[in-house]
Amino acid sequence: MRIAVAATEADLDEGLVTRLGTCAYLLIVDSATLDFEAVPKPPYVAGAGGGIVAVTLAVEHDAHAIIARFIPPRMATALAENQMAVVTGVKGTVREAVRDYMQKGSTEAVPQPRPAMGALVRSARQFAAMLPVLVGVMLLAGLLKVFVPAEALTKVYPGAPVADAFSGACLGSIFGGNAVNSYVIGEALRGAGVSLFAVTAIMITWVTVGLVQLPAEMSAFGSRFAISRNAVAFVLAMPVALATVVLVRWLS
Amino acid sequence: MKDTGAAGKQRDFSKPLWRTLAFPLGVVALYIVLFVIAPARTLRALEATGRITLQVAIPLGIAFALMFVLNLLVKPAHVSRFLGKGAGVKGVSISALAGVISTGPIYAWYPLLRDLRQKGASEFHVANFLSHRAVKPFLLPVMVSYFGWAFTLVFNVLVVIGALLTALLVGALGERRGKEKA
Repeated sequence: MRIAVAATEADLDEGLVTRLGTCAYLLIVDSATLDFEAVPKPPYVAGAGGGIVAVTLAVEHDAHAIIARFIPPRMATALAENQMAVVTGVKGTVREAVRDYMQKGSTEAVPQPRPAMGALVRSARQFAAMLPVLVGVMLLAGLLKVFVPAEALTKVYPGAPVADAFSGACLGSIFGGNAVNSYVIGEALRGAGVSLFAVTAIMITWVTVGLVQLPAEMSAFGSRFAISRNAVAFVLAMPVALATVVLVRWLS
Repeated sequence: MKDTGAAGKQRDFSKPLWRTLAFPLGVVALYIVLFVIAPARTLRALEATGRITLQVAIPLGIAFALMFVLNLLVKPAHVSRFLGKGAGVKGVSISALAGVISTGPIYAWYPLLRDLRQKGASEFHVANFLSHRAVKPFLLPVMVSYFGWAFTLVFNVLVVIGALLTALLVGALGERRGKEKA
């Protein structure tokens, strides 16, 4: 079993830090052999951000339990919800803390999670995170309806299925983010006379292709993967958009 | 003991607050400039925004309720556990489902996906997860209110097929690169 311990030094015989977020090292200890990895936490991240970094490191290193003198109750609840044992209120060295945990289990009761309240708070946070851009998009859609003449849009989207799907895919690839924003923009464009071929292509590439997010994707998975995934998604968006509109028209 | 130095390699993919607010604040600034130039038309644009807001309010309320249900039933730990295992049809279904039920911004999932990739998850599964994020069950009420049932149904079915094709092609390209390296 791998146990993460928030420590002051990369040494089993040193003490634990007072708060999880202030640890200099996260020791990933094998409970059977007491072999350990010392994972240094970036010194510039402290406080609540430091706690989150420490937890991320623990998860990345496959820890099944996390030991610290103090972990904020909200973080402890979230960890417990995600099946990670949380041990707080311990004293002594890292070695003693791990031994005590293996003998006694958790030394301090973790507050029982309230799933409904947790889900409500999480949903509210996700919704709140989505709102600023959505409000901006709705304001922009209002401007589009009044300020952009239909003739200008029909020059870019002349109504030819393939050309419209291509132009739409290009527009959706440049922008991106939450899908709901593409629905609002798509509806505004439909209202201005833009074809459903273009709108559908925008809605597909809005989520599947991300030029703005490409550097982050390249950094995470490598440039070859990121470029090939985005390129394939872009190319496939056009036939999918064409087929969608043809099928919808056939059905109705 | 080994000092991995892993923390030094940590990369924060999250978007800072100023970047989240930059777009809406930029649009507000545009409104202010346009109000000075053409006040009547700018007010009409605001009225149009009001109509859009009313139109989207109820579907967004339903979307919030669906988000709550999803968050109640599905935890991030489930997604990571599902994505880390499984092969064949089961693996494909699991990575697709994980993409569909995943919520929040895409960059929030990059560290987890990268970790899974390093632990052996194939390029196919990562691409399958990312491509299936285009299907969002909790946003279906909004899509139906804008585009109708027929469009919503056909769009989502074909997007799933397109996502699978994307993952297959990306997986095949990855395998080819692997063979060339070997």
